[in-house]
Amino acid sequence: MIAPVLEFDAVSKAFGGFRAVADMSVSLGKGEILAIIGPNGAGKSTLLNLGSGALAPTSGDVRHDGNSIAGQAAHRLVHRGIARSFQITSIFPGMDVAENVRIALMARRGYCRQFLWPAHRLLNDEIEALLAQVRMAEARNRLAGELAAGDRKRLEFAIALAGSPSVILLDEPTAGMSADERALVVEVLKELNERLGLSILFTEHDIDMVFALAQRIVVMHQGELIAEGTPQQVRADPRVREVYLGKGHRAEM
Amino acid sequence: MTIDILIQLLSGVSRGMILFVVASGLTLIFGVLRIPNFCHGSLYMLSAFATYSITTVFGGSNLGFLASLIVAPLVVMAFGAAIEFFLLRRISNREHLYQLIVTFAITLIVADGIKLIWGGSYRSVSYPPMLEGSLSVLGRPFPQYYVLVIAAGIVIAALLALIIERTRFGRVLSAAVIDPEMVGALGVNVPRLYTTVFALGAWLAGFGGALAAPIGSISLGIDNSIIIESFAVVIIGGSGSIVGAFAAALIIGIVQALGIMVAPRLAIGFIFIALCAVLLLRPQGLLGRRV
Amino acid sequence: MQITAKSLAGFAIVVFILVVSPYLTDESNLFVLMDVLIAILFATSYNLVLGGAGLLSFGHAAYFGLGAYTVALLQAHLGLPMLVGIALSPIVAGVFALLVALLTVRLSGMYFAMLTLAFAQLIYTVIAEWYSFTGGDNGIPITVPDYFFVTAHYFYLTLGIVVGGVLLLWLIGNSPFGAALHAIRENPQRASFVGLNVKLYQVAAFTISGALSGVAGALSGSLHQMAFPSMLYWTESAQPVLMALAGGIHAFFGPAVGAAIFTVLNFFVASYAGYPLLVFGVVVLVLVMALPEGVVGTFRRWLIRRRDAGSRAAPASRDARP
Repeated sequence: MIAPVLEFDAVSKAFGGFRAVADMSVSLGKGEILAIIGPNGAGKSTLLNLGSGALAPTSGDVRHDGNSIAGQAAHRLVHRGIARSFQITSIFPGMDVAENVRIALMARRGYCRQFLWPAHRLLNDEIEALLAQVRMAEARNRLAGELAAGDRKRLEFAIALAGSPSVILLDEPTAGMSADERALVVEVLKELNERLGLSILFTEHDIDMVFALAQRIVVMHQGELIAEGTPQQVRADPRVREVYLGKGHRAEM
Repeated sequence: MTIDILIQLLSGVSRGMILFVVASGLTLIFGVLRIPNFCHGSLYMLSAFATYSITTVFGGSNLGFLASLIVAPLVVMAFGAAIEFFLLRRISNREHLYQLIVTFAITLIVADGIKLIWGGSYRSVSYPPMLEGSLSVLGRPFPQYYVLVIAAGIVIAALLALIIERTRFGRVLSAAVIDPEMVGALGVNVPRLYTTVFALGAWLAGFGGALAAPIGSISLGIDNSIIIESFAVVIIGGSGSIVGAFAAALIIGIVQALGIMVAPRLAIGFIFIALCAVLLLRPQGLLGRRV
Repeated sequence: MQITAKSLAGFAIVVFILVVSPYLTDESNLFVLMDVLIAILFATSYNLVLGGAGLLSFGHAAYFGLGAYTVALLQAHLGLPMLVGIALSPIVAGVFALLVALLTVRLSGMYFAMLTLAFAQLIYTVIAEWYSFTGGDNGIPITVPDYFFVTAHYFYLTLGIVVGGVLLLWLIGNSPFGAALHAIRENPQRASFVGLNVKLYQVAAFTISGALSGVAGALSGSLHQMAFPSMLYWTESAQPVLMALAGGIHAFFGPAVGAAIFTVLNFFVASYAGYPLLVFGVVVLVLVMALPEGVVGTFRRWLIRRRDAGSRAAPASRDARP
């Protein structure tokens, strides 16, 4: 058993009477790539929100490196080394690509309390390196809002990586991408995992992508964990076939 | 002393009723269009001046009073609909800030427009002959006209409640207060809804202005004071809530009337303290929905 | 908002013209020029909140007025000279702005606007009604020391402080802090997920903006030798909003240009037209309807379009945006 870096310990999240996440216990190991799958409304995004500080759990605990982080604000968690991307890509559309990464770097390093130094020449080497990591070096001076969907997503990864995280939470990292773009994302993520030891927790609808990337899979249904294991184990689990993979994915199994 | 307080309370209620009529229009506009309509006070002032002209034409008769109560709000309603149709609608795709500025620019234009038409001096409208007298409340005189104002406020509140509860327009309106985008998705003609709501709001401002005309004097500047009190009502009552506006207007009317007895200069200050407290504790207002 | 050689040169030329202006023009024009300078500081400070942090404050007249009252009250009650009052004005206005900001930043959009308006009216009410301390409606006179009674001397004081304040705001806009505000305005969600405490930055921007608005108010009160309650009235809070919008909130010098246009317009309209508000209202209406990006924003767009038309094949670069 590898040491867990991010643990969800019996967490629940209720919105009014609706329990989006019910008594979930999952842990992400150091350097592990874990996929969370499940049908729409299974509570996957809510779980990521609980892990990244966007939401506070109704009950249960979330731990990072053994310390409770439940209910802590998102900006604090960034400084602990937890980064994330969103289902709807979240970048700064009115800034250029380099500025997007620069603000993330400056925020993480606490430069933003600086009032009087000009910002626009800072950290160019780091920006260069981060953009190269996500294969975006040549787009440096382009306006972020004008990028294609796949490029925006990779820019979002660069922003997330600028916080030099130990854990990254990705909500459907390849939604709306072409097959080529998807392959590129898988390649980039695998490389980050191998080279930096980054722990990755991601949700995904595309089953090929899940099996190409994940080392372990957790299956959620109606807010609960129904299966957990290696890709082979999950593939063979009859309940998973029934609630999730059964619908339209049978042929691929 | 207790009787004095009672009389003061009653005049506070009548004052609150006028405030309710004006602010109910403001809260509907804010609730549906999401714009703080700064020119709402101008519409009120415009109606008060129009009432002055109409009653003067009729020589201060009962008929003139009734005519002003009908005509002045309709004139203001047409003006309001024109503002929405020709100005606000054209910039509805931009940030709300620009619509707010447009309504502010109109307050400037109306203020000088009134000066241009009616001159800068104070005007007054006398009570209609049929309501000139006073009632006796526990031996103290209480103007009959105030009774009419209270009754009119209650009737308007009831009518608005009826429209909102019982008509299709009312249901669309309530839905728009909660989520304007949803209303568009339901197939409602949103631009037309906005114009209608703005016109209705303007009519209410106009009716309030006509009703208030015989109380106190009509002068430039009454727009600035009524708009601030009306904003207070909207915030305290909750955006888009008629019941909330009714309660908040009553509270403000009474607090002001009683405050004048205690510390005349700080009466308006009490309102802002109440308002800031409400905003901090319940930003959605007493009866509003969470924002 | 980058410091380029061209904009720096333009700024230097404008400052130079202002420095020599006491030798070029008469006293009455100098008075208008001082009003323009003060409005420039007010509008540029205000825009740190609107254009910078993306928050619509509708209560900045309160901080402007508090600046003037700082000078007047310190003089009336403690006998402190005008310059001490001007020096302390950003602290007093800034403290009030900080308190209001702490209470208001949890709301957004129009609710934030209405709450800032409400607090400003509360401050106005206290000042207008507390006769024994503030003189109420009558206001409080400010005595100007003999040296600054010479118009040119007070002009240089104003010019120095305004240029200093604007430069400070310029540096802030270009600093990492300014970049953080820009990020928050563009995408508050992402801003907090890169590790920025969004509310804290908004409070800081509001406080700085309020403090510098207070300096503008202190200069204005000293220029007109009076602090009076109507400086804080809510309709005055519209002034910096209108100036910033007219000039363009996304260009650093936009609010300054708007301030100059409106102050000069105000002066001419008040002197020569019978109905100043009417003219002013129509001008605002036309500007808002026709030039959504403000005078400077629109001019810049026009320049870019002209340049792009010249070099059709130019790739989309970072300059090609408002």
